[in-house]
This record gives sequence, structure tokens and C-alpha cells, in this order.
Amino acid sequence: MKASLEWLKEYVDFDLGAEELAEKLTMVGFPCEGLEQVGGDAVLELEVPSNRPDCQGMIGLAREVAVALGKDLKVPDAPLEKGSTATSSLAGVSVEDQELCPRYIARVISGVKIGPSPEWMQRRLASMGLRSLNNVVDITNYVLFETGQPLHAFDYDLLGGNSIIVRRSKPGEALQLLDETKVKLDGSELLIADETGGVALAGVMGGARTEVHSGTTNVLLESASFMATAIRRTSRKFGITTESSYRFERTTGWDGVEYASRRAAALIQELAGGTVAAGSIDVFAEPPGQRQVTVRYWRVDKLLGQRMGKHVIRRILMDLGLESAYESGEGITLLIPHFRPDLTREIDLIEEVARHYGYDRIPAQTGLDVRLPVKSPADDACRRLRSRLSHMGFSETVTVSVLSREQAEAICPWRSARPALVTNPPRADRNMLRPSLLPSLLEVRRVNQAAGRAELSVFDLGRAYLARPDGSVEERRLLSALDDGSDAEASFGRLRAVLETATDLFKDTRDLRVDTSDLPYMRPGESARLFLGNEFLGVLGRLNDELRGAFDLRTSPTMLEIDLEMLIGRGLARGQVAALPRFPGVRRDVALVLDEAVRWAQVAECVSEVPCELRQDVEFLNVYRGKQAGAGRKSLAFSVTYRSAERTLTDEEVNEVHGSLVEHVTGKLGAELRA
Amino acid sequence: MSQSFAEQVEDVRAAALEALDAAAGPEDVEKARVEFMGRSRGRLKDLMGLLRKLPAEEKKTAGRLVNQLKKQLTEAFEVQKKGRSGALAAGAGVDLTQPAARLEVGHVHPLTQTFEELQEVFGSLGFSCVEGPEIETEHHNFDALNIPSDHPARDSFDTFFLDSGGLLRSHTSPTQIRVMESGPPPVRVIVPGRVYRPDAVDATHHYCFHQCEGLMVDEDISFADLKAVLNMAMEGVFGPGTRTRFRPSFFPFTEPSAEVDVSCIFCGAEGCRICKRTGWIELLGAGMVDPAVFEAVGYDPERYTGFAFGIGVERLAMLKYQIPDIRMFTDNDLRFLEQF
Repeated sequence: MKASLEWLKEYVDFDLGAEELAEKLTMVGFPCEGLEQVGGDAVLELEVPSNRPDCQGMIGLAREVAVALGKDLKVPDAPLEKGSTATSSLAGVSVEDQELCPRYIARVISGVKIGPSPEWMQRRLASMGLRSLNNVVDITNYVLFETGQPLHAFDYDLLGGNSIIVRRSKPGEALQLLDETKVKLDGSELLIADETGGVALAGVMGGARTEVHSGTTNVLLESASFMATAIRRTSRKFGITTESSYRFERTTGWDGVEYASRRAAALIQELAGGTVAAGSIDVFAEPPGQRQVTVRYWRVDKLLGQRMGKHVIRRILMDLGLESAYESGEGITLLIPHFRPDLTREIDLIEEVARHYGYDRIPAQTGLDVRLPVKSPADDACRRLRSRLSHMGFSETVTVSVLSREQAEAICPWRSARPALVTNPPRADRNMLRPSLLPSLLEVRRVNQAAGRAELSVFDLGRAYLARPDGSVEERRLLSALDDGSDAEASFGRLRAVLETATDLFKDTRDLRVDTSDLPYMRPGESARLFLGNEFLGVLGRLNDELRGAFDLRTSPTMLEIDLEMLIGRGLARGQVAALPRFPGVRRDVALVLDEAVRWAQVAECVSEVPCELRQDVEFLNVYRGKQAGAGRKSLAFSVTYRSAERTLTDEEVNEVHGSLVEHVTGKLGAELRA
Repeated sequence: MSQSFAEQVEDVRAAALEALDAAAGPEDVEKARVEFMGRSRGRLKDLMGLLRKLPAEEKKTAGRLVNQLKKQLTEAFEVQKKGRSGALAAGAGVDLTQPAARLEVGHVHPLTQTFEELQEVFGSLGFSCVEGPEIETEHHNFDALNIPSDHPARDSFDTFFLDSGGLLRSHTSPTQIRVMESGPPPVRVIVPGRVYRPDAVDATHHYCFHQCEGLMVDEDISFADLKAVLNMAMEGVFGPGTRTRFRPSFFPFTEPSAEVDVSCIFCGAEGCRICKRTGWIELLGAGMVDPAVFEAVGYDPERYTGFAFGIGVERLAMLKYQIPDIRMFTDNDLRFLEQF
């Protein structure tokens, strides 16, 4: 809302500069977004909250200025010289839909002389950014800005039957608007019509047919109240926002309809000549009763944390235009004026007091009691994971959760009953809530590929959205990681490290199982499903070539995705500390030459089959391929550590148990010991 | 003598190179050097002795072989010495002005760091951290927050809807409702999380962004408490001496409502480009919980009062680190992430 400094001074006697006024208004809730000079006048661009329709006019704003500065508000009177003819004998108004149009006032001014409006009025309109048209139209606009009540002037003689009918449109009915656009109506819009058809799209814009023009001599002046939601719908539907529709959408006051009508008629009489017909046609259903709200003084103090005193409370509320209906020692009951539809409860009045007392004068003080925050296990787990993974050289990403359907459906390790679609998506090609973080990480890969990055190690702890069979959508927290570089085996190694670091953080994860399997989105022979016991934990693998192309990548990154929710469910592994061993352990290395096809998991399982109380640890060392191992064979080395809690082991003891272990393993796996 | 001279030269060569290969440290290299290149008893010296005894017609060819070997071994030992023991062994001291070989560490995302900082600051004031779902109901996202469907205020809460019913929350406030629905006061929580609004993406807007909500409810919570808590929190986030300014505003779910400005951290509130010469930066929205919200969750508004606030996390991080474009957070270009 624009506010002219000069104009405001017509209603309040003050001598602040524009910047000081802007500061005052900002501190009572109307922040100033801009300040410009228009023809010697300062114009403030103010942000008016949506619950303050009264401040969509200069008088409403002036009331705020008056209260803020402790001055009086002067509202102009609108004296009318009574014409001899009664309005009701000149025109007729019928309102067919009183729900959408609770009040309609028509006045007729006859014998006007259309011409330019006076210079002072043109200047006022210019400061609002409006071009002057002619005296009558200018007056309707002037009064709109002054009171916040939109008005419309019709050429009385062009109104068929000199009458106004307020009704809903008929399906298929068309209307040519003032700005020459033609709208096609569907029966839902509120229409101002005469006997022959529509003359205005109610609350939005007048029609071309009955426009006031240079030859107009008699004018019918409309001042009405329309239902906010109806005007809002119409304005949205046609994409037309006008000074009128903007105000009607925020509701206008009951009394304002009458005052604005009188004020505009008086100005027309004064500036365009003519005679205002006696009285008005005022069609309304039932005037709203005047609301009463009680405010208790102690409640104000309690909520604001500051003793206000009844005098401060009374003064602020009365200055804002509220009238005392009843007072007691505990509080005051006030009559709420119609222009303040936002004041319905005690809390609304307390806010008014706080606003004009000054938020800055309320002390910042608290007797906050001491309390320990509750820690959430999920939050704790994520923090520890982030810390570990970043120390391992992986950077955290935060990725958008909406994907294209192709991306989302290309890779999904999780069971989801159906895609979760956004009905009004941000972009037509991004309409699906992601069922996996992997496509998001591939996008991150692409961004960094474009930045010329050959190697990338990233992880994401975001949510995936999985539809349950009953239609509801589960938000599941995942850990996803991507690694890319020149050496795919090294990438696999790093992601194995991520996997183990992650599982090691939680309790009961010794049963991690890696099942080599061909996942459709990964390269053949380079992927696995992961399990904790029999529960599916996630996937590990390297992107296949088809998807590499689809995601515009030059390399095939290695990827890991696991169900973090499941790990969190097992609890963080923070048990008791184990005692440090008192006796030395004995380590024996084993190097086996065996078939390529034998996996480490088989070797480890084979080792575990041999019962031995002294065996403490089995550790994978390395794999070697080459001439010495022979074609189709590989050399695999691991170490076994033996230890007793009671004594130092002798070589003989260890040789015995280790010998039988080696015998079992070589025998079962068809392996030879490497020399 | 069974071996020819040339064969003996080859033997020495092979043995020397193998010894070098097997060397595990500077000591081994030195041992091998003495064994092969030693001035008095080295094997190269032995070959020289043999050479002298050869017949004249063989001396020329044999001499060339020994010289070649000597040259090769000298070079090989030199390389080993440099490569394996570096400057210290070469007696040159250490060049401490040399930059380090970089140890690669990963980086925690700036938004996460901002969340963690808020959590730490509010945690020290006794606020617990609670998360809520992103997929919400109209009830939690709007109705219980006193935003009726035909209210113009809903305009600023445009929302994405899902085909399965439900919507993507347009603010973190619905989690306030869930917290209050789940138990009686006192309540003291912050809610970090992801929110969605159908905004066109540009340097300062994204349809998917993050907020941190706060809520405190008890029997005697006042506007003065709200001011005190946010004052302390902003000092915690931006450093001692940071001030706040509360301005009246309107939100459907709080009353009185306030926009909260923070004194500009870049110019000490003197007025600069970033604060548009005002000395203040608009940072968050806050207010006293509207009685209608208490009624919606079954709290007695006569008995309980409380405050709520909401912070835009991208905005906070952008201010604090002077990040020029909101898209940088979700692009995840490592050149950006590595700066945190």
C-alpha cells in the first residue's frame, strides 16, 4: 500500500519527515519497503498485514499514525446538499444474492459536467501511481485510496431501465471490461447487471458499455460490500487484480460503504457540479451487530511479561477507535468498530496494546528454569555417522527430494507400492518424491563431473519416500554413499569401509551379510544385496552402462545405500569397555591358493566352523593374482590371532590348533598353502 | 674357472639390483652399497681385480662391461638414497616451507552445520530437538494452526499436494501441533526440518528448503520470555553483542506476532550494503501462541501461554557465510562444500 506523506497530514497534524514516519510505522507493524519522491511529495511503500483491511486506505493508516504519535485524527465530513428528487424514484436496485453482496448503496448525481479534476486531486492520484482520467472517475479512485472502500461510477443513462441487478452470472454470458478484455462467465461469478446484461464484474472491474465518458451527465454511484472469498475466486480465475479486488478480497467494513458513498457524492457535487438526489438506495440483509470484547488488565500483564497499568491499556484501545461499553476494576469491555473485523478476542486487544506500547519497550527478561534437553537416538546416530564419514574423506550432501519419474524409477532398492506423485509439481518433469537417494547422488556426480572433478566421495543422510500398500507414504531415513575415481576396486574398498564404519556404530550388527547378486541397475557381477541376519539392509554396486548414459555420466560410480532406520533401531553400540588382554597373542598368517570363484565370505565361514577357544580374531589381508598362483586361481592371505586370558600360549599349542584349522580350510576349499 | 667374465658381470648386476629392491630402509641400502660398491672389498672392486688379470685382447670389451655396470649401479644407488631417505639423509635439512601433501577429509554440509549450531545454542537453553514428517495433513499444516481455507493468509502458504492425499508441509509449524497433541505442557522444543513451497527457483528462492521451528509452552510464559530467549539465542549464533529488534507483524498462529531483526553482524549495525543501510537484518518470525492453536490441541488457553518462532535455515547460513545463491546448497558442488 502506497502512502503519501502530504496526504496523511490532512488527517493528522504532525511534522515528522518521511524517514522518521517510516520508522514509526515500521515499529507499529507496517514495515516500509521503499520510499520515493513524487512531485515534491514523499511516498512510502508500506506492507499492510492481511488482517488489516482498514489500513488499505489513508484514513486507516492516519489513525495508526495518530495513535503512535499521540495526536488527534481528523476525518473529513461529507455534507450533502439535498436534491429535491428522491434517489428511489430515479433508479432501482435489486440484490438477488445477499450472501455474496451483503450491502449495496446507490446514489444518483444528475447534471454533472465531466472535465479534468482539480490539480490537487491529480497530484494525490499521481502519488499513488494513478493517471488522471476525468473528475468523476478520479473522485471514485480518490475516495478508494482515502477510505479503502472501492467505488464505481456508471453512466446512469446507459443503464438499461436505470436499474442495477446484483446477481450471479449465467453460464456462457460474456462481458466486455473497461480495459477492453472480454471475459466469458460460467455462472459462478457475482455480476452487476442492468436489464439488458452485465455492466460490471462485481468487485473486480467495471464494464465498457456503461463507462463514464466525456458526454456523461448523470451518474449512478455504486458503493457496496462483497463477500471476500467470492471476489478472490473471480479475481484468481481471470487473473485480474485491481485496486478494488485487492481490497474486497481482504474484506471491507460495513460503515465504510455508507461513508465512502456520501464522501464521493459530496466531492462530485463540489468538483463536477450536479445535484445529488435525496437519500440513497441502501439494500442490505441484516446489519452486523456491534461486537463487544472484554480485556482483563492482569491478563495483558501476564501475557506480555510487563505491568502495563489500566490507563495505558485504556488509552491505546480508545485512541484506536474502540468505545468503552462497561468497565470494572478487573477489566474493560469495548465496542469494536466495523472497520476492525480482526478484533474478535481478548488476545487481539492485547496485541493492539503491545503494538502501540512498543515491542521494544517490553523488557527481555526471563526466569527460565534449567532443563536438560532430551536427546533423540536418531539424531545422535546421524551426528556420529557424519563425523566418522567426513573424517574418512566423504563429504555430506543435502539433495532435493523431488525427482523426475524416470530418474526415480531407474534405481530403487526398496519396496514401494506405487510412486508418490506431487499433483502440482515444481517442474512438470519433476513430480515424484524419491524412493531412493541414489538418483540424487548421481545428479551430484554429474554436477561435479561438469566441474571437472575426477574423484568424488560423498554421502547423504536424507529421506526416501516409500508408498505402503494402504496408500500412505513412509519417510525412511537412509545412508547413501557414492564413490568415483579411476580405480573402481579402490572405490568398492572405500564403500566397504563406509558400510563397516556405519554398521560398527550400532549394536548387534555382527551378522552383516553380503550376498553377491545381479541388481538390474548395476554392472553384471559388480553388485550385492546386504543383509543383517535375514533382514534386508541395502545394496552395494557399480552403476551399469545404460544408466551411466541416462544420467549423463562419463564414468560408472560405485554406490552404497542402506536402511539407516533399521540400524538406528538396533541402538548405538556403546556398551562396557572390555578389559585389555594381559597375555600376548600369537598371530599366524595363512596364504592359500584357491579358485577365483571362492569368496572371502566362504573362507571366513569355513574358518568359523573349526571350534577353538583360543582363536580371537581372523583378519583378511589381501588377494594376489599372477603367474605364481596360476590361471583361474588366486592367492588369498589372512591372519589368525590366538590368545588365552590365563596364560602365555606356547608355540606347540598354537601349532596344534592352527594346524587343524589350516587342514580343515584347505581340505574343504580345495586350496593349497602358498609356500 | 667355469664362468666367463661377462657372466660374472651379469651375476653382480642381478645380485646388486635384487639387494636394492629388497632394501626395507636406508640401513639396507647402505649395507648393499658397501657390499657392491665398497672401495676396499666391494664386489665391483673384485671385478676390477679380475679384469687386470685378463688377456690383453679381452681387456677392452671386458673393461667396457665393468664401466657400464659401475655407471648403472652408481645411478641406482643414488636414486634409492634420494627416494628412500629424502632430504634428511642427504644431509640437506628439511624444507619446512614446502606445502603438505593434502590429507583428504570430507566435509559436513553447511546446512547441517547450521542446524547443529542452532541445536547446540537452543539445547543449552533446555530445548530438545524433535523431528516431524514432511508429508502432512491439512489439519496439521493449516487448520490446527488457525489458517482456515478461505483465509487470505493461505496465499503465502501455497502448497504441494500429493496424489495419495496429504501434502508436503509448507513450514515446520505442523510439528508444533504434533508435539502438543502428544502430551501436556511444559513444552520446550526446536524442530529442524525440510519444507516445500511452490516458489520459482532463483538466487534466493527454492521450492525445497529448510526451517527451524521453536516452541515453548508453560504456565507463565510471556512476551518478555520470548524476547529474552531469542536475544540469547542470536547472541549464541552470531556472537556476543548481537542485538534483536521486535516489530509487530501478523501470523495466523501467533498473537501478538513479531518479525525479529538482528543487528547487522557485518557492520556492527552501522549500516552497510548487506543490511541495506538500516543496521538491521530481518531474520525470523515469532510470537505468542494464539489461543486458537491451544484450543485445537486441547491445551487450556486460560492456564497456559507460550511462544513460537521460525527461522529460515538457508537464509541464516547465507547471511552468516555470505553465500550468494541458495541453489549452491542443493547443487553440492564439492568446490563449495569443501569450504566448510
